[in-house]
Amino acid sequence: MSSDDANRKMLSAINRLKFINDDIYKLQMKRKELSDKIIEISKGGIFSEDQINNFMQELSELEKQKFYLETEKNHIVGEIKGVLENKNVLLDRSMEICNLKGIMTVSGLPGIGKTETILKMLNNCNGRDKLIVVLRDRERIEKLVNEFNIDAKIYFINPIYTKKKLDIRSIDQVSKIANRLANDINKVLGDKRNPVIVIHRSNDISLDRIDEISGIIKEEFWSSFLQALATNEKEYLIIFNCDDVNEECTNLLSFSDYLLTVKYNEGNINIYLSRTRL
Amino acid sequence: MKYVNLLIFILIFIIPLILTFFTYSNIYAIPITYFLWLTMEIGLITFTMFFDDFRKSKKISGDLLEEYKRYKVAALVVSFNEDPETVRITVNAVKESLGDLGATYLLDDSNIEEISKKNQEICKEYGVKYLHRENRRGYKAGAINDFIKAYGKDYDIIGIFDVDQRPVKSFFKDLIPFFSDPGVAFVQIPQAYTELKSRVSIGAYYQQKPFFEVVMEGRNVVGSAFILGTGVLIRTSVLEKVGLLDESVVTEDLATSINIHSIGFKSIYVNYPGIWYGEAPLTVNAYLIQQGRWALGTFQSTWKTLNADVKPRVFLDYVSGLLYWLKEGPLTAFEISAPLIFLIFHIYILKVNPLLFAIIYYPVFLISMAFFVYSMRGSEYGIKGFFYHQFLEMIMMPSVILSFIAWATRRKKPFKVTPKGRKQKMSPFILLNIFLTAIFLFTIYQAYNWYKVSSNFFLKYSILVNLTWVIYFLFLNAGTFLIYFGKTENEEKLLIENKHHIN
Repeated sequence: MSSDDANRKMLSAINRLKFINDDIYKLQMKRKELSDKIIEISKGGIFSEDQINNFMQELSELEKQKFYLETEKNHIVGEIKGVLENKNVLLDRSMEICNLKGIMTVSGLPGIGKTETILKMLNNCNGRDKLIVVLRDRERIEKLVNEFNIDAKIYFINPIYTKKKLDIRSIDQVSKIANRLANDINKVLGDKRNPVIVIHRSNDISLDRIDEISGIIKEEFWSSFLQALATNEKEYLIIFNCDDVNEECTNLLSFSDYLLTVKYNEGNINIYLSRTRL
Repeated sequence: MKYVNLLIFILIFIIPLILTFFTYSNIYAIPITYFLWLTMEIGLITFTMFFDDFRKSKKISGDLLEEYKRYKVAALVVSFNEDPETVRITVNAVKESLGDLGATYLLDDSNIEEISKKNQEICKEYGVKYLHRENRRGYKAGAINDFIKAYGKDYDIIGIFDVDQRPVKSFFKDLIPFFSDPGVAFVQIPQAYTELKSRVSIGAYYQQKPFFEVVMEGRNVVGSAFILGTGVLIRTSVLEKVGLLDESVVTEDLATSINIHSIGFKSIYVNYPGIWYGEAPLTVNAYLIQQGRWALGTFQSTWKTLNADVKPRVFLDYVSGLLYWLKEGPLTAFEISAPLIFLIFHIYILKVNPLLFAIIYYPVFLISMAFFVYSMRGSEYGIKGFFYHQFLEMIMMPSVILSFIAWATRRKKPFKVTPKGRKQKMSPFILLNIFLTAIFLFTIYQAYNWYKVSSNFFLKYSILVNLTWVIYFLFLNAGTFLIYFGKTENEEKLLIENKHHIN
């Protein structure tokens, strides 16, 4: 497959993914509405037996549709990953990464060694300011930074962020909190020219509580966050450490310039770097 | 003294005086007229402040990112004759949370030898440092101050915990980064009431909710959040600058906060669940002792508040705390007595058009109540929590009045009742509520008779307006018996079910 063919295939897959995400979101909203009605009934509401049966039938229909859409979605995600794998370059010189700018998602299963990989890479990035933004897992990060003797500043996101995240009830609040976090990162960056910023982990920072109704809300979060960081205008390299669970990394994929995949293969950890921007 | 503070404070008390001058009806009832206006004005002020706090509580104040630096921390657990088993679990939780950041100390003032011996063994077992005082000079504040004098130079930050409040594992790691701003003097989190084993404790839990969720969140944005005595981290150097914890008042936390804000340091309040175990007062007596102490401490801090070198909005927050206690204690007594005096003795208190009064005041009163409930949406507070809160405030009225009298007469303890842990079937304060019930019923009967014989429209209307108040107070007073005679297990079950439903 030529490079153009691969790009076209991926673009089409990403577009289909967006539509599927929309449909899943609508379906989940409908399901939530129905579930609320059923809860009302269980509290002794005013619905007749026929209506209750209808609700239950409708709910089961929605479950079927959801299953179908999710299967389709997994298929598309697999397709995208397949294209990317073909474009993979086995990464053997981490120095290359230090020259990059833009957004990089480091994806892999939990515990496979992503954090260590990122930190080792950071260690080689001389001449760039390094900043690690952490919400959870603080002790481990602090320990690893000391162990690898990395010249990086660690910034903790404080519990106010977690609390405000829990209070979110509307989409405008999603943008607000994303903007606010990005602005605070900009503030600590000050006039640093070309820093490397590690976000550990994207799963902690995006909106986990409202997972059940929102691939869209997560997309909105990352879109606002990256817009406020103004990555296009600056020479940042932002590295998202992303555990590949609950399609967290898929949400980040459409914003990323690079995908770094950490894979376990016959006792070895292989690291692949791919460009994702078409 | 700051003149702006004085001016604001005097104005609060002058405005009702002016209104009294224009509306008094009977020269002998002038004090009641004045205090009635003062109550209404304070109601309006506290509601406005609450509204503003609510608006502000939605904002994100301060930075979300803090640079990680290492500090040397001393975690202090303060105890006085507490159950050693409770001490054991708490010191262990605090030590676990502190990790390698510093040392955990038990400041034990227990004067029962058996308890202090047991505590000493527990500390040895868990590697916690044990400090014991023979005298209780300055009580809790004294114990902490004595610690700072002896060991303060070895630590950048101290954490303070009551024996009945246990921090989560990440407490120190979560909160210490705030100190990377050298202007931050202390970081406070809400107290937790997780052990809800009586209706009093459930009521206290609900009563705390608006304070922690709205008032303190708002005050955090304003810059007037204050120390709550437990679940707090304080920069040692700032404490040394203000002459350590203020032992001159019974609530050293409030007074010290005023001192800290007055020298320009910042406070942070983080509304997050950093305490996984917290005991609420179990009995009415324990609750009244707690509320009486808080009220007395606030009254004792009046002059300190007036002298506070802070911005007017911060000053208003501190004054609003003072006005709250004034309103819940002595002024509630005047609020209750005004319709009773009118309906029993036919003495007119206010010379205002009753129709106009009802049109203006009732909507304000109802809106403020509705807003209060609305502000707590999303939590399990609701109407049920609101009424629990109101019934408990009705119960606490006499203890706040006694605290006010103790302050006026310069006594250190407002009253004596049996504290928690000792068996006493019923609080003696129930007699007051029984007496009030009788008075309210008698007043309703009198009002009915008067209404029947009166022919003037405005008089009839005035009787109805006053009767509404008596019925409202009768309702609140009846609610206090639900607390006094509560079947605790059922209520606990209900609350757990309610929590599950919310989740």
